[in-house]
Amino acid sequence: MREVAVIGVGQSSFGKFPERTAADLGAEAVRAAIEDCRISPKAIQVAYAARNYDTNCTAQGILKEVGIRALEMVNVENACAGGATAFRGVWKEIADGRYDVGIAIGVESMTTSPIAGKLIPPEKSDLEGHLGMTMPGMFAMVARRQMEEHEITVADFAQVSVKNHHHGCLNPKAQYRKELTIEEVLNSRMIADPITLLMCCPNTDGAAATILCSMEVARRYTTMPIRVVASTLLSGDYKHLQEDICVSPVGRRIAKMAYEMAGCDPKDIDLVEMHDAFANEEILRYEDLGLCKPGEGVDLLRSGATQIGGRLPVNPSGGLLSLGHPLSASGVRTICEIVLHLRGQAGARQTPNAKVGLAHMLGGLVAGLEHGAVASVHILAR
Amino acid sequence: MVDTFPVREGLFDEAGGGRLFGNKCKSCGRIYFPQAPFCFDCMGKIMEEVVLSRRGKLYSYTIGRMASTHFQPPYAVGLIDLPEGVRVFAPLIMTKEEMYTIGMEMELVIEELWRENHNQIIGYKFKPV
Repeated sequence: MREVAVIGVGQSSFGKFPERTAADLGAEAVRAAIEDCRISPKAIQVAYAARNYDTNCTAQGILKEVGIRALEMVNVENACAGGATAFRGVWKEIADGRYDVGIAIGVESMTTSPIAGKLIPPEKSDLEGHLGMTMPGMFAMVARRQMEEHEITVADFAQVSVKNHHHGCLNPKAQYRKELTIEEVLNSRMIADPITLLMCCPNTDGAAATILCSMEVARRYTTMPIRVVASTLLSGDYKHLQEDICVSPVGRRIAKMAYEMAGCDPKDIDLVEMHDAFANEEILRYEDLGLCKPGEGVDLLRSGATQIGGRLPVNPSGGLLSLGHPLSASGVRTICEIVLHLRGQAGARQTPNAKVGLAHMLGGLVAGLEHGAVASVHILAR
Repeated sequence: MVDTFPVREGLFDEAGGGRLFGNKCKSCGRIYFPQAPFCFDCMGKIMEEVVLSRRGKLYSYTIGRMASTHFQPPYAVGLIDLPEGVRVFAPLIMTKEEMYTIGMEMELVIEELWRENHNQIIGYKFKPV
């Protein structure tokens, strides 16, 4: 197995663009990634693209816009972890020695999808969905347990949103670039008690792309290749085994796998980009990722450590909450942000002297399985 | 003339105020609701039907304020832990005060869930005791 580097990153604007196609958004991200490392489109040997809604041949449709065609292309889906799955796919191809250069793309056009502005409807076989289960409803029930078990308050949930929106103000790509107050978050429209609108990620259109290659090829393009030191992807176990809905069993397992693969500890991580689709969730993932002890996630948040300027920035990009969440793009986009910080190119969002970053994704509501049916963690280092 | 259909076959009936049907693995004793085709824990193939307790404790809940597929807001849903070690997701009977507390004792009720093409779809809900 060879070491794999990331040499190019790019993303489109994130926002509501119903007049733009997924191919157009994807092409914007791909062009940015190509320009980022000044590679020739002809050098790309393999491509993986991720998308949830709602067509086929996503990779082909995007890449023909930029002169990339007639090579191996794979289209993948894994709910919110689709982008991470695409990234891992290209990583595997290069690590296993099948190809030397590849591109991973994630794209979502949510405003033109069947779920635009709506909650994701249940499959015919999804009993719980028909009985009233929704994604915000699930996280609302988790929030109630957090409040019951750990003396967490709705103000703490709102603080996650305030923090990530503050970060979003520093990100020119962000869908929302507005400072929020705790009162504004708490007073926004109630979706499922106690989850309010401003505690939920928005509907977002957008794309992100990364160019990966072997270390040998990387040296031709950059003096600062960013190494992929851990790549993991795992699916969840049966729900009846998830006794505590505040703990993601697959999330905890995958964190351990990633640290082991990278040969590092949580304390070695300088910044994190993670799945904050719902504000209360971020507090739990601090614990699942071992960034603090179980039950102490809210203390970590309250300490200010996870803000830009703190000792362990979490979601300096603005996260899903403020930058936005084009479902299949986020798994690639999180990696793009990590790479920028490790190169010292994150501008006003920069984590000083960042050496190691962690990109986390969790997603998928499958009846009978733990919520968050798919998890992925990538660790990158300079 | 309105026809009545259960939301899904084999989950419940209305006898004695309502009964939920789970099944139990004859090898390891694990109980499932809805019924499992075989035991997901020990892979045992022999399962026997069991009637679950009508009462359990409210593990968590929420009140939906945005319409879901079948329910207009506000509607309550929750997770109820039954003594058999089974956690059931179900709509909750809305009380006027919308007051629920974690750990509250809840009881099974069978009633209409929604209407579809002039048919009445019925299912299980829980209400505070």
